[in-house]
Amino acid sequence: MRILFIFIFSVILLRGAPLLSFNPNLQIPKQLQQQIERYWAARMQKKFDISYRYEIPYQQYIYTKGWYMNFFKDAPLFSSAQVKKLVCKKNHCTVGILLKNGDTKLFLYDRWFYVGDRWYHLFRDRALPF
Amino acid sequence: MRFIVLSICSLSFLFATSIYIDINRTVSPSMIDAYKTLFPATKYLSDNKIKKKILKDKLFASEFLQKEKIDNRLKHSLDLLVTHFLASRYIELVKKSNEPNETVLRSFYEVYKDSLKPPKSVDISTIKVPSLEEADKIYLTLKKDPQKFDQLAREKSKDSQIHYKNVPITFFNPEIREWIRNHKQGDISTPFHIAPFYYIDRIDKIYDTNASYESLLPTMKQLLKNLYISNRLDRLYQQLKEKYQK
Repeated sequence: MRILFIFIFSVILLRGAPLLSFNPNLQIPKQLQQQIERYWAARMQKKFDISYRYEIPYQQYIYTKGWYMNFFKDAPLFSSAQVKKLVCKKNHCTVGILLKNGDTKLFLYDRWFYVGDRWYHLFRDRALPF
Repeated sequence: MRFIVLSICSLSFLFATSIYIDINRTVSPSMIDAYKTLFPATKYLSDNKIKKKILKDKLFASEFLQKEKIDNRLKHSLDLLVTHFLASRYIELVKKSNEPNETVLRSFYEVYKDSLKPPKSVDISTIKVPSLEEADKIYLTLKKDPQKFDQLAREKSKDSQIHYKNVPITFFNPEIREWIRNHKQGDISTPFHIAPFYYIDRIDKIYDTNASYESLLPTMKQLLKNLYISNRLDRLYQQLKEKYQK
């Protein structure tokens, strides 16, 4: 009975959670993979106060959390994502992600930077002309 | 005696009433809201105290407006002008309190180090001639014997100045800039046409610019601080405008 209850409970939990998968052919640094998973889980669930923590420190310095949440408030909702491509240079990786929601598909390139001892995401802003 | 006391009392009553009326007439409730947004610490103060603070600021605002050139579109609205003034005071406070730390600067450097690098500069020699035939002739001679560049420049160039020292590559037109980027010291170009003359260039020296973290630190600090302030100012204006529009 208890097992059945746990099973039903976990099915309910999993149904709500968005899915993020990785192309098995890619060799992604473990720490980066973890950060991508956490970041996109938050973004897909529109938990921007969480995804804000993964943004690169200089963007966190320039933009307040309120501004950031307002910036993304109209972002479309996606139910699943797949990391398709990865190109890494010294301390900088470009990740190609395919986002899906029903028939809607969006492919975008994400940039991640290794600063200090962890990977940070860089969102596209237009504050700087270069 | 009684008359004097009575007249003093009535005068002071009139004075207090006039101040009260003045405060209530010139400070709108939306301005109090705006003030509370700008200075969150004042939210526990009574409305009257905030009104007095705003009036004090209004006096400064008139001085401020004379000093600063305010956008003409704002001039019609006193409320907006005061808001502008308050926001600028708020930004002054922000300016004093927040410096970008090491992690912020380091991350900014990692993203923008190539873009922030000052442009390359070069020492360049040039031969300027009026026709393509002449330019081709000189180019073919130089192809066989590049050492003749200085001699030919002295004899054929229409310009008395042949050598240019430490010129930033942004000074050149895009075609020459591209050529400099893809060539090395001592290389001689094919003739470039920049009407009405033809130019043959030789790179004498390339100065590679320094883009170390330390050398870019002052530029980055300034840039980040400006962005930090302008973003907060934008956000404030948005919030306040929404309030005023309501």
